[in-house]
Amino acid sequence: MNDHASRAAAFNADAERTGWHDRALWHVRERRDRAAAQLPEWEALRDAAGEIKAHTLSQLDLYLERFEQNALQAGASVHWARDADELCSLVHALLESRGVSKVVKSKSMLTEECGLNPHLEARGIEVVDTDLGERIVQLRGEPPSHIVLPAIHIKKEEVGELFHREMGSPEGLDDPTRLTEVARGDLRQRFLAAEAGITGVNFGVAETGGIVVCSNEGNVDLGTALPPLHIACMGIEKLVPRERDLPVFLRLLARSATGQAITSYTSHFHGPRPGGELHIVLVDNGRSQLLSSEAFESALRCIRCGACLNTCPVYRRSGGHSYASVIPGPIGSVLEPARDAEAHASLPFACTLCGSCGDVCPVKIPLSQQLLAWRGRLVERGHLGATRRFAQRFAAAVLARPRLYAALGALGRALGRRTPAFLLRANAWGRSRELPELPHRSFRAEWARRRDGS
Amino acid sequence: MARSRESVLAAVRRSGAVERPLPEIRFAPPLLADPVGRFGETLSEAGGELRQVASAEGVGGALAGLPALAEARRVVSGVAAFASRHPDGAPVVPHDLLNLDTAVAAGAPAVAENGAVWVVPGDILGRAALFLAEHLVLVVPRTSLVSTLHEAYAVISAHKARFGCFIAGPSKTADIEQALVIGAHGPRTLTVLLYGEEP
Ligand code: SF4
Repeated sequence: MNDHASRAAAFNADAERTGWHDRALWHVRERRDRAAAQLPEWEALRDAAGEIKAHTLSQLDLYLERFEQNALQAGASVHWARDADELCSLVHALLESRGVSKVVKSKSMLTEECGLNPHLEARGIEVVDTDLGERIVQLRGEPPSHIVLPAIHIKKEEVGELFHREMGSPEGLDDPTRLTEVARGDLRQRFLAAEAGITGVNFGVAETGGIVVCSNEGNVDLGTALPPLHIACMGIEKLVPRERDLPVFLRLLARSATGQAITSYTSHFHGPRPGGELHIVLVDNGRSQLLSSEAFESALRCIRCGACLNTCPVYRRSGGHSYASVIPGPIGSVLEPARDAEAHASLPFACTLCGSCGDVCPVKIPLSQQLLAWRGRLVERGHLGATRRFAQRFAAAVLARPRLYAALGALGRALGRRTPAFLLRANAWGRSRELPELPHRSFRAEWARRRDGS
Repeated sequence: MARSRESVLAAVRRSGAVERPLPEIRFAPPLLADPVGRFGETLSEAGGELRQVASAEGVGGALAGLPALAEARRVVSGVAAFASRHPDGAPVVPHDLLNLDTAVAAGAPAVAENGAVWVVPGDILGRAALFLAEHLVLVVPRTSLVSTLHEAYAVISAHKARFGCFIAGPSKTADIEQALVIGAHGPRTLTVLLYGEEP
C-alpha cells in the first residue's frame, strides 16, 4: 500500500537513523523554545501576526490590486499565474525572450509546488538551486524533506560522497565546514555565470509594492546582485498591508524556524536595480479556492517557518519524504489534501492529535483541528482505508452496546495477560513497547465496588 | 496575461470573506539597562563582532586597525573615513568584485534585540560587495541604536530605497547535519564598528 504509514515504515527500517532524525529536529524545537521565551510579548506577537494575516486574507483582492499598483510604480513588472502551468510557461517565456540559459535559484517552496525546475530543465535551461540544503537534494535528485531544512534527512558522510562525485572533493571528506567550503567554491562560479536569478518571496507589502526575502547564506543576494534579471515568485497569500507589519512577522519567523533572533539577511526589494529588471509573479494555484473554505482558509496564513514540522512527533519519526508531498508535516497534511484529496488521503491520519503544531505556530493556525476536520471529510468521501473503516464500524457497534462492551473488555483483559510477546510485535505500536500490566477488574466494576464500599 | 489577472481576482472575490479587523501594532520597547551590551550579545550570537570607538573622528583609525582591513588588498568602501583599494583597476560591474577581500559600508539603525543593522548600499557595486566580500565591516552611529525591530521600521522607511537589507552576522548555514558553518556564500566575518559617545 502506498500511504503515509507504509512509507514511514520504510524510513523506520533504519532505527538508528530514525532516532538521529528525531533528535536533530527536537534540538531545533528546543532552540525555538529558548528564543520564544526571551520575548515577554511572544504571545501578543502571535496574536497580532494571526490577526494581520486574517485581515489581509479577508480583503485579499484589494491588497493584491494595491500591491500590483505600487510594485509597478516602483518599476517592477507584475504577472499573474492561475496555476502551476501558467507560472512555468510565464517564467520560461521571460527567460527565453532574453536568451537566458543559466539560472540560479534560491529557496522557494512555491516553485517546488509548481514544478518549475523540471519545466525549465526540459527546455534546456540550467537551474541551480543555491541554498546549500536544496543544492544537496537537487544533486541527489530528491525533493526537499523539510521546508526550512531541505537536507535534514541526509548524513554528512552522504554529503561527502555526493560532493566527491559531483564536485570532485577528496574522498571520505565529512567535515561540514570543509564540505560547505567545497560547495561555496562550486556555487560561486555558478553565481558569476548566471544570467538570471529566481527567488521566492517571504512577504509582499501592499502599501509599498515591496518584497522581502529572508536568508542565512547570502545566496538570495548574490543571485539578485550579479545577474541583471530577477524573477520573484510569490503566492498570493504572502501579502501584508503595511511596512510596519513586517517586524511582527520578522520577529516571529526566524525564532520559530531555527531559534535565531533574525536571519542573517532580510532583503527588501522595491523595483529593479538600476539597469536591471524585476518581475514579480503572483501565483494562485489553488489558494483562492482554499480561501473560500471556512474550515481551512486560515492555513493560508502560514509563513513557512517549519516549527510545526519540528515539533510533530510523527514528522520527526517518519521523515519528510514519507508524506510524498511538496510540503510535509502538519501544515502539509492540511494543504495537500486540498489539492488532491485522494492522493493525500492518508496524511491527516498521520497525526496523534497532540496539538503541539498549533501551539508553536507563529500565526496561530489551528492545525490539529483542521487535521481532524479533514479526517471527517475524507471519511465522508470514502477515502478511508479498509482496515480503518472496519475498525471504526466495529468500534461504533461495540460502543453502542454496553453489555457487549463489558464482555469484550473482560475477554480482552483475560487474553491480554496471555498474549505472547511475539504477537504483540506483529503490530507496529507493539514493536518497541511492552504491554502494561492489565488490571483484573474493569473500571466500572472497580467503581461499583468502591461506591458500595464492599 | 490580463485574463489570468482577472480570473485570479475574481476567484479571490468569490470567496466572499467577511472583513476582519486590522490590529494596530503597539509593542512598547523594553527598557534596556545596557542597549549596547545587549546589541553586542545578539550580534555575537549571530556570529558577528562588535567594536567601539568614542568619536566620529576616530572611525578612520579604528577601521585601519581592524584585522579585516589591515591586510586587505581589495576593498570597496562606502564610508568617507576609509578609501577603497583597487590594485587591479576600478571595478565597473559586480563581476569585477570576485576577489574582493573586504567591504565597508555605513549602516543605521542597529537593533539590540537581534544584532541586525539596516544597510542601504549606494549603488549596485556597493550592493554586490556586501555579499561577495570575504569580510564585511559596518560602520554604525551609536545614537542610531534601537531596542526592537518595531522601532527600527519606524525610522528606516524601507520603501525609499530600491534595495535595503537588515544584516545580522556573517553568512551562515546549518544545512549539513545542523552543524553551524560560518561563511556559506557570503562574508565569513562581520564586524560592526559602533562610533560616538555614550548619550
Ligand atoms: S503552519 Fe504555522 S508552524 Fe507550520 S510552517 Fe506554517 S507558520 Fe510555521
